[in-house]
Amino acid sequence: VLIPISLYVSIEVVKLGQIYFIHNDLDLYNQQLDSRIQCRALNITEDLGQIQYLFSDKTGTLTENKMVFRRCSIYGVEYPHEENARRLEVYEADRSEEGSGRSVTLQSGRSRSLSCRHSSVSLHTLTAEEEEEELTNHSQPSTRAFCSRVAKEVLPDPELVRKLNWFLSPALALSDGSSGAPSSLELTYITDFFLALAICNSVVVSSASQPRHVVREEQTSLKSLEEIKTMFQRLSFSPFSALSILSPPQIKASPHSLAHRMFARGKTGSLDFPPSSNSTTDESESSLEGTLETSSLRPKPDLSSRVMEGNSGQTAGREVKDDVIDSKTDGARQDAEDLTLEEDCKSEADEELLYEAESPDEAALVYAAQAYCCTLRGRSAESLTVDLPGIGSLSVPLLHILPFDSDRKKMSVVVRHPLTGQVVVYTKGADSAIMDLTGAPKGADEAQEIYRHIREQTQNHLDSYAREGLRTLCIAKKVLEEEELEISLTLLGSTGIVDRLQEEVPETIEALQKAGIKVWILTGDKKETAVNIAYACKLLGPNDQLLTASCESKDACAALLLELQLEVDRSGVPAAGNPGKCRSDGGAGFILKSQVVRLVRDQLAVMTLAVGDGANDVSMIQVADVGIGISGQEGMQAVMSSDFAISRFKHLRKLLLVHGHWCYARLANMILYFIYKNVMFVNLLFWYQFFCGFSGSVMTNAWVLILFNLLFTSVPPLLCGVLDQHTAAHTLMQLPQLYSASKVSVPHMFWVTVLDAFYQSLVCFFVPYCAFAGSSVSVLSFGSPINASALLIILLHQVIESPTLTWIHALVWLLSAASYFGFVLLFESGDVTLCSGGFAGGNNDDGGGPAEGGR
Amino acid sequence: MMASSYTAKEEDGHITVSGPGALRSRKPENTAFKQQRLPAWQPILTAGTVLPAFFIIGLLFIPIGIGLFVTSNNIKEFEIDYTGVDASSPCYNCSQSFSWNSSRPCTCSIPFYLEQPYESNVYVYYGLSNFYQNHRRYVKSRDDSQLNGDPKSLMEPSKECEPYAFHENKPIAPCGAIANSMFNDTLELFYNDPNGTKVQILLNTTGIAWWTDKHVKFGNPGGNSPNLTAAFQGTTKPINWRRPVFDLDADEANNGFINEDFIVWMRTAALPTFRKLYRIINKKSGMVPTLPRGNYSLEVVYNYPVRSFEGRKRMILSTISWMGGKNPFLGIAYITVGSVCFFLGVVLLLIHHKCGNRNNNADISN
Repeated sequence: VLIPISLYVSIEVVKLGQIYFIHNDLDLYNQQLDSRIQCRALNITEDLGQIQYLFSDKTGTLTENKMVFRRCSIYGVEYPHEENARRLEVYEADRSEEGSGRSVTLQSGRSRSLSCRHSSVSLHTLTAEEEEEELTNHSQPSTRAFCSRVAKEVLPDPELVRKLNWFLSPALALSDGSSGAPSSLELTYITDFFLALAICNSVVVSSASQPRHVVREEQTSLKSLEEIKTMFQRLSFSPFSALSILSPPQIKASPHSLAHRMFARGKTGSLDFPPSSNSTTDESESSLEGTLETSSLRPKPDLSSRVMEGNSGQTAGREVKDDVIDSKTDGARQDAEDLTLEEDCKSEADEELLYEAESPDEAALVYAAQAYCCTLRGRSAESLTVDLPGIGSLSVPLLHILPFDSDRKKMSVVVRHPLTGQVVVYTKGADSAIMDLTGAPKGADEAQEIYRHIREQTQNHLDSYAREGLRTLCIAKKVLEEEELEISLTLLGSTGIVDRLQEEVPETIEALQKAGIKVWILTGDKKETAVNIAYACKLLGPNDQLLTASCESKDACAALLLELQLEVDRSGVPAAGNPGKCRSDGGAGFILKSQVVRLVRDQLAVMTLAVGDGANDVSMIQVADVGIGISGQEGMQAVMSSDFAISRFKHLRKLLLVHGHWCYARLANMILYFIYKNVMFVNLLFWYQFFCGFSGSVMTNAWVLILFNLLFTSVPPLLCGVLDQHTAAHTLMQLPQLYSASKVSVPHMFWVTVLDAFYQSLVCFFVPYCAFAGSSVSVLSFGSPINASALLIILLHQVIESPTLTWIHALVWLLSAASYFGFVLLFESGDVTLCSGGFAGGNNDDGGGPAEGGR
Repeated sequence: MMASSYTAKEEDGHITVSGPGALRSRKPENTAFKQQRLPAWQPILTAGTVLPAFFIIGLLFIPIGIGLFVTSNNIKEFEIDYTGVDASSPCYNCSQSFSWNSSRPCTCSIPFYLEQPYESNVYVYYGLSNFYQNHRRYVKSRDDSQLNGDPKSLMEPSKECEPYAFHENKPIAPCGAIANSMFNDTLELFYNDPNGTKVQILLNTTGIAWWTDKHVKFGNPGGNSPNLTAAFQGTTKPINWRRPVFDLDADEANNGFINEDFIVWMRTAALPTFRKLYRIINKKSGMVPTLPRGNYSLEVVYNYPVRSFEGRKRMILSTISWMGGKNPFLGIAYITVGSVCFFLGVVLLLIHHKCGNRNNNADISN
């Protein structure tokens, strides 16, 4: 009687109800993005409760995908950016102090700045900026996704700043010569490095007032007369003292004075030597006057570094401010000095620039360059406008862009250098792609020696970055003489970008592993980076044995993976062991990801879940049984192809452990209850066949028969499937082990249920049968009490089976029973001519009582 | 190694714009229902709940069972099988020499002795065994609108009645297999007075059908027209009947489709062994029992054949109570279940008392 269809319909309705509750879960709501979980597939809720393998993308899924420039290595010298690291950590600590109270108000922002004033000067700018951004964010919330505050603020490394300041104020170098004056070659590298950071990208510049303007103003390197005049005016009007530098709060109070000073200093340099972009091709022309920016900015791959060194040593004593020299001795003043540079850039950028990049890495690098005053001001089809320290705005003619693609793993821009006029290729890319192409430059042995040293050092730094879990990129350049691209590049340096883990990622992964889910991270990162991230998110424990497999081709990789997996399975390594980690290597990228997922899913016949955020995860999400998209920085493609879209990785924990568990248990119980209900009811009719000559007649009115499933007992199973909570949510969160324990033994439970239903229908039929045996009872009068008692027993069965009873349950039971009796009474009285129905109430107590008592 | 393992809390801890007039937040409502935090009662079976339940069920069911059992035992019931299977049976001859169309009725008389006087109203039933009145095709073989007096259905019986819808091109009234197989034995009771006279006991033919059946569901064609013969003009009697439907009873109010014997028969029995109310012997005034103790005889006009399907025919005399006819089952069932519950309760209480002391508090406190 309508079993398949009604069961099917009920399951669909139940899943809809489950989706409703998942959708409305406050814990799966992200306040920042104002986004709930999106349930795009309505009918796989129970799969969430049976996941065995979880495949996760790394970038943007485990991590924020908010890249922050962390450290860099130029000319083989590492700049650890300790301040930067400390700032991130302090910031982090601050954030964690905040706890879950996410309503950060302006007031709390201030109090934080007060409390942290002592710790680091940089925090002032941080908080100040924060407040400022809070204001701007209200007007332009959409830009936040691309330029997070932390990403924007890179604290320059003091050492690097000192070197950069070198050609701003050559006098500093004289006073500080013992602590390692940078060679001019190194300065060349540094300047080129930052220029590359600023221009080798596809970043679109916009500002708060002028969104996405291409080029704000066409500026040449030559200053107009009016501007020069204003320079002078500013210089003369800006009073500054040493005191203003010494005390950071005052710096904050009067940033303009500092800015003017720094600005002016740079400008005076350029005024003394009016830079002509094409004139200074020979280094010998770079004068004693220390207009190092001219010379250092010039690319000289085959330059004799000795000459440059001498050059730099001969910086003349044209001094602007003496007090600055004093400040160099003090650490705090050094901070202040950093600050000055920073403030300098800030004030120069009279409005805050916003960068929108294809990938967050690019934005992070541009912001890093900005921190060193290499500010990308605008972009047009033909040229880029860049502010360089000490020079001002330069227009860099853009000749060609080789955009990034995942096969080449690098991108390049070809520009005509604004100062030298040479055609230069700047290349940025993965270390594996770049390092192979960086050949030794032609030239003297000495230069080659230096260069080899640089390469080795950079490689070392790269490795150490990777061990820290940083994303590494290499920057290289080449001066073009003929048509040759991207080969035998000159390695400038490398960057390490930190992509912070999202909050609660380690806890989530730990919980998932405890739940018996094998977590794989599929990433194209360097092995060291991958392993480090795995440790960071507790995927790998200290005691885990690390097996590393590497292979060349896809097929070999697949075979290897499978072998590895089987081996691990056979040897019974716990879930936290090696299979937790998989590195999808090589350029195959997303195709390989989906292949890995398909391989595991098909070969091991397990339930898989894939979670990712980017377009490269789409295939993986589609292949996996359950695809989860993270709506993050990388667009909507993953979300569009996913079954569920969440905004944070940590949401997986509740989604799987609580909702998955519930949905699975609910659906299983609902189906069992549904089967019970039908077996119980249909068997009543079956038993009757023994007494009607197996003629197929029923002792129930046809309408009651139809409506019994459709109306009278339709809602209780739905309740069972939507509302029941076998285990409380907090228990499930605390004990992830329950996740795997939830898998009920289905055949066993099924047969128990069916037997139970048989027994109950036996009691329910034969008690009235014995009571009516031999009497004058008519067919429908006989059926009515049986139906009534069956209905009551079915409802009572749910009271016993259901783990949680709420007022909704009570209401539904009341309505179910009332609907039956109401219908029977109305129907029989209203249509008595057509149906020879009996009295409805009858003997149901007799039927129900002993039946339940006998249970 | 863990240098970069710091995790990020929410990076941008700003309030989302949620002030009045701002765009509506998509934040889910924090209600108990939506967050699945409804106060719930978890039925955990503990000694504290199970033991009282057992005792209550036991103490409740045993008295009910006893009451039912006593009531059932107080009902007087007498049953006599007059099928005539044995050669010694008075109706043996009738059962052997049967044919539907026999013009000469076969009669037989069965003496019986009532050991107890029947005080209140006595209900006379005929009982049939192995008669599947609940067979699917049999149950359907009737036309309710015809039985309700609809003139159109009278002349054009429903197809459900096939093959008992038409006979010799005339519509059968009442049509169908149920009507065609109507019980047509005549039962008469005689009291053999000790002084030798044979007194016929007055059997009421009315009041045996349900009121709704007689007044709502069944009706003669032509409404209250006194001339039933005219109303049934153009129809023919069911094949097995001896008399047409308008000739079932001399009393106009009990004739035609509203003849109560007919109505009772048309209410199909649920089980293959059933009884149907045949007559009622009303209680006499005064202290005289309705049926005094003594010798009786049952005179049967034997028309109804049951030997072909190995059926049995019985005549039942019964008084009734508030719970209907005599049936000790319910009382026994209640007593049994109640006793079992009580017994289990005692056993569990002993077990609990002996072994459950360790976690006594946890159990009872619930």
